[in-house]
Parts: sequence; structure tokens; C-alpha cells
Amino acid sequence: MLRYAIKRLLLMIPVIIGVSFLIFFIMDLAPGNIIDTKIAEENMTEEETELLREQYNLNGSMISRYFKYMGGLVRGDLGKSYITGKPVLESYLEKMPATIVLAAASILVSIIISIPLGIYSAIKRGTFTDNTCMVLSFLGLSIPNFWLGLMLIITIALNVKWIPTSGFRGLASVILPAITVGTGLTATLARTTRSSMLDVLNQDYLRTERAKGNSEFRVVMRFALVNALIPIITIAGGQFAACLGGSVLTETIFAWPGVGKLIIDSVNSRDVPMVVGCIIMKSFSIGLVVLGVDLLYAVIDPRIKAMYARGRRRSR
Amino acid sequence: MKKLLMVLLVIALATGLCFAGAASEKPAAAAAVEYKDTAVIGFQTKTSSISPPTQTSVMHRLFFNLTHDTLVDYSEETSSLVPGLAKEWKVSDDFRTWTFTLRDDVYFHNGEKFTADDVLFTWEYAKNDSGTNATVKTTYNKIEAVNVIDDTHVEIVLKNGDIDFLYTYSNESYSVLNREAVTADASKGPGIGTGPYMNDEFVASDHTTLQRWDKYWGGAAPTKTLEFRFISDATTRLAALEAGEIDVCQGPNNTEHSIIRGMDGIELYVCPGMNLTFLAFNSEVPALNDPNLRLAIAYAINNQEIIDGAASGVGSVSNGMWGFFTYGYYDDWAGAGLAAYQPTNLEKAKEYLAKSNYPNGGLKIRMTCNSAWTVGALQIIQAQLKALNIEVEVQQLDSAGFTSMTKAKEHEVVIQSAALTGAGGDMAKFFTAGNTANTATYNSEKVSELFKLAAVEKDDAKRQDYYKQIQVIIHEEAPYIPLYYAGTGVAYSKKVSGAVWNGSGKFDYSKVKVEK
Repeated sequence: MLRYAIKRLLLMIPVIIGVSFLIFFIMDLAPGNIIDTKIAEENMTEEETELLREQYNLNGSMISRYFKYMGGLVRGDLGKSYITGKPVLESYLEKMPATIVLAAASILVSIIISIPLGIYSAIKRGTFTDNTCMVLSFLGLSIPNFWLGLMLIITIALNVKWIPTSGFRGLASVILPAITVGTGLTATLARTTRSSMLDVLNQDYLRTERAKGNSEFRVVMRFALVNALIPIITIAGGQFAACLGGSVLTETIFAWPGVGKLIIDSVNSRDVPMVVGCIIMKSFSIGLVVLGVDLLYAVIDPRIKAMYARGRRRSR
Repeated sequence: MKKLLMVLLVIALATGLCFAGAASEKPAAAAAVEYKDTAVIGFQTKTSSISPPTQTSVMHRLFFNLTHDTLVDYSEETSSLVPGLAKEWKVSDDFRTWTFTLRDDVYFHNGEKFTADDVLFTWEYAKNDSGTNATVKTTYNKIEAVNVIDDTHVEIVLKNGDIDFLYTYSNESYSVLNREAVTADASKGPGIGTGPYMNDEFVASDHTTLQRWDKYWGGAAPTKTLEFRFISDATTRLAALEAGEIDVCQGPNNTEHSIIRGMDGIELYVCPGMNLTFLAFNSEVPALNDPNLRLAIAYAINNQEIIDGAASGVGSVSNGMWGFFTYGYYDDWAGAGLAAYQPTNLEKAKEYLAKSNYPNGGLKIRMTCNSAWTVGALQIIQAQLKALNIEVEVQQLDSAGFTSMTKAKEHEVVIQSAALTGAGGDMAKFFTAGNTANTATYNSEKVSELFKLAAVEKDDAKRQDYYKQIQVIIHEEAPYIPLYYAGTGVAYSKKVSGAVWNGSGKFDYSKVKVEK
């Protein structure tokens, strides 16, 4: 399994090279650059703009700037922000705790809502209850984040004093943003849970468990759900990885200091080192989460663990 | 018996009066107001630095105003220069040599005493540091030498005479830094100033906490801690105020002003704005290089309708491309034999259109903006110009794309806002070549010459006259059409006092206090 993990980590290198080139290329194609952002804030003479071009090294071609950037990246230097002058990695890591907390809490909310909903729908397949559950989960997906966020602030935060309206100030402050992001994730996860459960609910081994006298609750939770977990974990893992990239609207509404808004603000101000650096870090963290999910399969499913073991024996 | 009753009555009355006195004293004792140790302000614009020379935006300057001092301050109340770290100053006849007498009771937050050497150091540091803002660097590069005469006297010698130098130099980005602090720590050192508050915690785009500097030369501030929270969404910011999490909500949505007025315990203050919104015509586009066409548009537009429709009625009509608070402002158009652009005059508009290259209209103009609310303004203009048979195509770009286009002079007409200052000479950036603010690509030898003359004219009346002549020329040629000054709203708890809010958006919280 260790070899597999190392192999996967090494595969991230071409991914990062590809992603960084693509972002560099797209940012170069976008109209305007950092100097235009500065000009939008204040008047400048032609000499001042030329001074800035030299300062930001914008006179060379895109390819030469890219290779210069990659030279720094090889040494672990993601560059400095054009706007703040701070190292990109430092700015990114500053935002990571809040991003991870929000991502984890959102997935938790999503799991708490969608898995029971999916299981119940599967058990009550084709009934009015099944349809209601699915409509409810879709409602979570259909409600715009910004609207739900504002409604939660107005209805909950203004009435429950211990829940703050905005900012990352203690665990209470994560409740509303997590509900906002989490409800948006429920539809996919609930439907996956439902279909995955439907696949296993009619399996013979469950009939055997029922025949043994196990309660329906135990049959479903102990024997059916465990076997239906792989697709659920795949989707939940993917959602968690996506959340690590930040949730721009939610971060804006709740003044949440996450990476999503950092990236969007950097794109708007054409802060190329910050955009490229953040996207590289985002790709890296998504890669790690996906790898973590793949490894988790082995923990849940002995067949996959056995597969890893066979692979190891073969390589010997 | 009657006597006894009378005595008892008198005693009862006397006792009653005594208690009544005590009761009336109780509220008086309760009236002694207590204030919170911390005032929390919610703001909407990102900040990225605590170092004055690196930033020039209004929000950064608000912080620098609290943490640092300049030699001279600009008072927006009186539109004049007032003493700061310099008690007095004088200038040579050619406006090149400025001599300052400095206060000798000022201490930096690290305990170092402020001297003339710090003025010299700030100049040397900022003009050489790579992080210095380009405009700030250009201003410092205009200085030939800073001569320290003694600890309390310093002389600044400019390469060329500039009568408006102090207006520029009073900007918070030119605050004085401390040599020892910056030399010891290049990252945090520039954040050490002489202002009423010290930088305590700074998390870019999240929050900034300032602590009172008890040795402040102007007297210690009333509130121990100021916390500024960055909440970008206006509705959330207002909700935070309503929930009591913040005491001041800067810049609530204009559309929410009526809701705020109905809120318990919350007040709304709308400052008359100092940011002018205007249209700029690219004179390098042949069709638009026609003053008659531009004047026709200027007289056909209804500015009040734009304020009502696009700014929820929060703003005031502008009739001149010159700040009403800027030195040399002139608006007696009738006295100059001209008609003001506003109120709308469709007949006059049609007269000018008839004299233009498009006497019957029939042209299409692309108008570009860079924000959602200016799209609204352009859509209103689009409807208004139908009266002249002029078709308007509305285009929206993001900020960098917008500036990239104006810099490359690829635009036709743009709508934009600009923060104007009190310095008359500062207006030259809109009307002289080589400035990115000159989005009209306007170039007039006469106007450039008048700006040059005004820059070195010591006689106030003559200088005012030069600026008047410029404004008359601009009014007749209309490279820009002024629209309005957007108002700036502030919602705050009724327990807040001492804050100064003005139209420039650079609010002063140095005296703010919040009742418990």
C-alpha cells in the first residue's frame, strides 16, 4: 500500500506542472494585469507604469516568466503576492485552518442529512416517502447558497446570541456556514446512498442475515450499509476535496477567511503568483484527499486490501 | 391632638421630601456614562499592509491615520492644511524649499523620540524600498534633498517648485516612520508610528486590532482597543450590527437605508460624497472628438434620474468636472456666459446635436463600466439618449480588464468614479497627457499651460483665475460629463459617539467611544 501511495504522490508532479502551465496561460490571456489593477485604484504616469512593469517582471514573454516561476517552485518557493508582498505559501496556509474546518463541518452536515435520507429512501423505494426524501435532498441543492446563508443569518444568528453572524470566531461560528455549504451537497450524496443501498438491499446474504433473526435495523446498518459505503465514500471524499478549494459565495456571505475568496480576489486583481500558487496548493490538497479516500477503501473493504496485498506479492 | 397630627404630617412630608431628593439623585448617579474598552467596526474594503508607503487606498489611509502621523494634516472640515507633527512651516518664493518646525513632545510606539532624522529616514527608506507604492515613490522622487537642520527643524527641497506639495504630503501614505523600528524589523517596523493607536494584530482581509498609545502627543484616545472586522457582504455587515457584534457598519447597501432607519438602537448617517462619478469620452475615437456631440449628450442626460435609479437616491448632482471641495472650484456658469449641464435641457441638447457631425443622431456609442451599479447608470443613460436618436451599447468588464482597455485607449465612453482631493493641481491628472486617469485622452496646450502657471502662482486670486479658466474650457469642450457624487452611508449603534465620518470615506475613529 505504501508503494501505491508513493506512486500516486509522484503522479501529482505532472499534474502540478500541467495545472500551473494552464493557469499561467489563462491568466496571461485574460485582459489586464496587476498594473491595471493598480491603475484602477490611482492615477499613474507612464513612467510609473513602466517602473511597475519592471518591478513585477512583466516585460518578458509568458514562457520565460513561467520557467522563472517553475524555477522557484522547484526550490519550494511559490513566489510573493503582487498585492500584499507576502509569500504565497504563507498567505495560503493562513487561510487553510478556516477552510479545513468549514470543509469538514460541511461534509459532516451533508453526511448527517443525506445518509439517513438515502437509506430511508432505499428502504421505502417507490413510495411517497421515497419521493419526499429525494425532493428534500434536491431542495438543498436547488437553494442558492447566498440566499440560504442570508436567511440563516437573519432567522438564526439574529435570534440565537451565541451563534455569530460572520467571521471565524470559535466553533459556534462554523454552524451556519457549514449548514449553508452542507445542504448544497446533500442531493448528490443522498442519491448515491440510495442507489448504492438499493444494489445491496436485495442481496442474498442479507436474506440470510434476516433469516438468522437479526433485526431489520441491524441488517441495514451492519450488513447493508457497510457494503454500500464505497460509492458513498467516493462521493463524500470528492465533495470534501472540492470544499478544500473554498466556497466563494459562502465565504463572502459569512466573511469566512477561506481560500476560495483568496483565489477569486487574486484572479480579479490579476495577482498571478497568488493565483498559480493557490491553485497548485489546491491541486495538491485535492490529490492528497483523493489518495486518502482510495486508501480508505482498503480499510472498509477487505477485498480491496487483499488486492493491494496481491499487488505487493507480485512486485516481489 | 391636632398639633400632634400637624407635627406628624410635617415629619412625614419632610421625610418624603428627603426620600424624593434621594430618588432624584439616584438617576443622576446612574447617568454617569461608562464606556466599553473595545469598539468594533465592520468595514467592506480589503486591507493588505500596515506600512504607510506601500498603500494609498482610502481604507488603508484610515488605519494609517490612527497609527501614524504626517508632518501636516489636511482637514476635510475646513478644506485646509493644519499642523500635524510639524507645528509650523514656511516655503521659499519658488515653492521648492519647505521648512518645518517639528513638535518635540512626540514618541513612537516603540518609545523612541520623534526627531527630524525620522523625516529624513522615511524619505530615504520609501524612495528605495521595492514595496513602496508607485505614486508614493514618484512623489518622493520629486524631492531633491531632506536636510536635517536640528532635531526639531527639517528642510525638504524639491527638484521643481510645487505649490500643492503639502496637499500631497499630507496624505497618510507619507506618514513618518521610525529609523530604529524599521531597521530592527523591516516587516513590522513600518507599522510603528506616532499615532493615537498602535498596531496589535493584523490579519490581511480579516481583522485588524489596534491598542491605545497612552503617550500620544494629542492626548490619549478614549477607547482602549479598536477592532476592525472585514465583512465584505453589506447585508451580513448590517446583520452583525443588528446582532450587536459590531458597533459601526461602514457602507451599508443604499437599498437598505430605509430598513436601517426603522431599526431600534441604530442610526444612519449619510455623508455627502466626495467621489465623483462621470463619463469620459475617448477623443481618439473620431466620432467622439466633437465637442458639440459631447455637449448634446451632457445636456440630454438627467443626472438626478441616474442617482435615483442607480444609487437608490443617495447622492448629489454634479455640474462640473472639478471637486466642489477642491481648490479653485468654479460653478458660476451663468457668470461665465455658459449654461449649466443640469437640470436637463433637451432643447439645448438638440441645438448642439444639430451643430455636430451627427445632426440627426443615428450613431451608436459603446459605453463601458466595471461594476454592477454603473451598469444600472449606463442603462438609464441608454434610455435617456434615445431622445437624441443615439444608440448606446452597454459593456461591463472586470476592473483589470476595464483599465487595460482604457490604458490601451480602446474604449469609446467609460463611466467611472474618482476620489478627488483638495489640491487644485491634482486635477491635472484628468486633463493632461501621460496620466492614466486621463481616460478622455484629452490634450489641450492651453489647459496644460494654465496648470503649469497655477502650480507656481503665489497670488491666490490669480491662481483661482487660472483654475477658473481651465474649468470654463472643460465645460465648453466636455471631454468629461460629470454625473454625481455618491453619498457614503454609515450605520451605527446609538451608543457610539466621537467618530468622524466624512464624504471622502476616510473616517476618523481616534475619538470614538461606545457606551456600555
